[in-house]
Amino acid sequence: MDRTKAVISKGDGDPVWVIVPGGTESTEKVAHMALQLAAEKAGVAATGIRHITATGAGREYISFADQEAPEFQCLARGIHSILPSTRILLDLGARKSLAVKCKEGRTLKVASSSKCASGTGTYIEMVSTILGVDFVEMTELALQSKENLTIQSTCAVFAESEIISLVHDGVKIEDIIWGVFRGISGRIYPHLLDLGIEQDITAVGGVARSKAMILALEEIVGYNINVPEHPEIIGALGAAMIGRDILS
Amino acid sequence: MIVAGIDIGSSTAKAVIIKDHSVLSTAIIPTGSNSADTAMKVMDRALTPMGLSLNDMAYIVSTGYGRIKVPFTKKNITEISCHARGISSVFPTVRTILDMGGQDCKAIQCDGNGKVQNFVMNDKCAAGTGRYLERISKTLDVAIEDIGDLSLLTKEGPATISSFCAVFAQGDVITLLRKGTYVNDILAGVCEALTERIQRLIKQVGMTKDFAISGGIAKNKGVVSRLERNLEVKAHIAPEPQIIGALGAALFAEELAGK
Repeated sequence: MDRTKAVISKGDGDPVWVIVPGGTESTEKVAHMALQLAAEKAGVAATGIRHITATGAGREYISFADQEAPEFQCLARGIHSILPSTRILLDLGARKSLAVKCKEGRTLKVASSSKCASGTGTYIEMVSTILGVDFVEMTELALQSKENLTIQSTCAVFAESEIISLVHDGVKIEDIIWGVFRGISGRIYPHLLDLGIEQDITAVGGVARSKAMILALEEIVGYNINVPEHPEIIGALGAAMIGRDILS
Repeated sequence: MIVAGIDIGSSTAKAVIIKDHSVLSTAIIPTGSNSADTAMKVMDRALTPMGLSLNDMAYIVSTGYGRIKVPFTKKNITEISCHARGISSVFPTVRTILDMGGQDCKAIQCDGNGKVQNFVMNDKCAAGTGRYLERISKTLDVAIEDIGDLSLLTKEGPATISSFCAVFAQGDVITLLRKGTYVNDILAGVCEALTERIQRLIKQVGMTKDFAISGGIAKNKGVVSRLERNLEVKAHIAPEPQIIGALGAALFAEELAGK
């Protein structure tokens, strides 16, 4: 699901953040609402915010922003303020997967796919709809699997017929779901190979909340993968930090 | 001698019964979740009106996505071979064939005897297959068989569908609807996008002047006319393009029964 995140950084205090669902309003309206809510939470007036950086897929629609910055740049900057040892950052979003090689907040190399749903949260959402199991339950079930099945369909649309025939063949739902995560990890892995695998690896984005997704990735990558406490907000956090860098 | 060909596709199942080279009966039904049941049903549908039963069939060949799950078949043959064989029996001069079904799209080159020389296939990505149209049909609440005709009645020209992926395109379509774009213009954009993807396969396999289209897509005038425009050819289309695979299977059955 597409969501909008706003982060406000004020003085020496911890950043304040909110996450707002996309809904049917325009991108700019939702962004404005997110900013208002974050400002309220931070105890400041939205009009008093000195610098606003917009990032993400809808960044060009935010007319009230002072500047736009690409996602990889914000992610690299954001992770630097939380897990500075990160060398490879994996952003697992609803509509894309992005891998960034970074050092001290700077981007060294990027590999991504956003043309196809096969390595994204959208694939998981499709399966969630087919099986009638929500995102949190999917992870819980996948972790119970003792099999090593892999869903073969690259395309999220074709996964539907593959999964339905597995259900008909009596394959356990937890094995199917674990197979979905394993399949997705296999389609994200080439991005890491493009960059050259290096420690430390950190996963961010909403999909990084799934322990099963991380476990499937660790299985194929062969290294431990870190996940920050609030993986969804790293891009917005980086955008706020870039603003601070400019002002100072 | 009476023989049958049966084509279990991902969306529809087809059966053709032939006697001494000519078609006796045909049937098309939606594919159910169980390929064996579907195969029985579609055969029944073709046999019953003729007062025939399975025992009257001298030979049965199965093809398509579910071909290995047909219980009463004597042999299964790939749909690529069957489409080439089927098309060349209807249009003997054809050398390039496009077949688009529910879950794949193939461009085939064949010789004068309907023997496959070369083919390219997309069965990995829904964006160039019938599933793409199915999803659009559901999103816009337009029957799949009406998409082609409506796409030719645009008001302001084809809308741009910016996503390649069939899942993401659904989001684009919803955004266009919210902006007030005419449904026919969206459908035109969808058919343009699909045409472009299909065309790539045809160019890869090599285009010849005698070109035929089979499978469900042949019934979509929006895609057919755009392909003809872009490739600068007139496509040969059989009166019932969906049964070409099953017809090819039946012709193989006739040949095998005679051996």
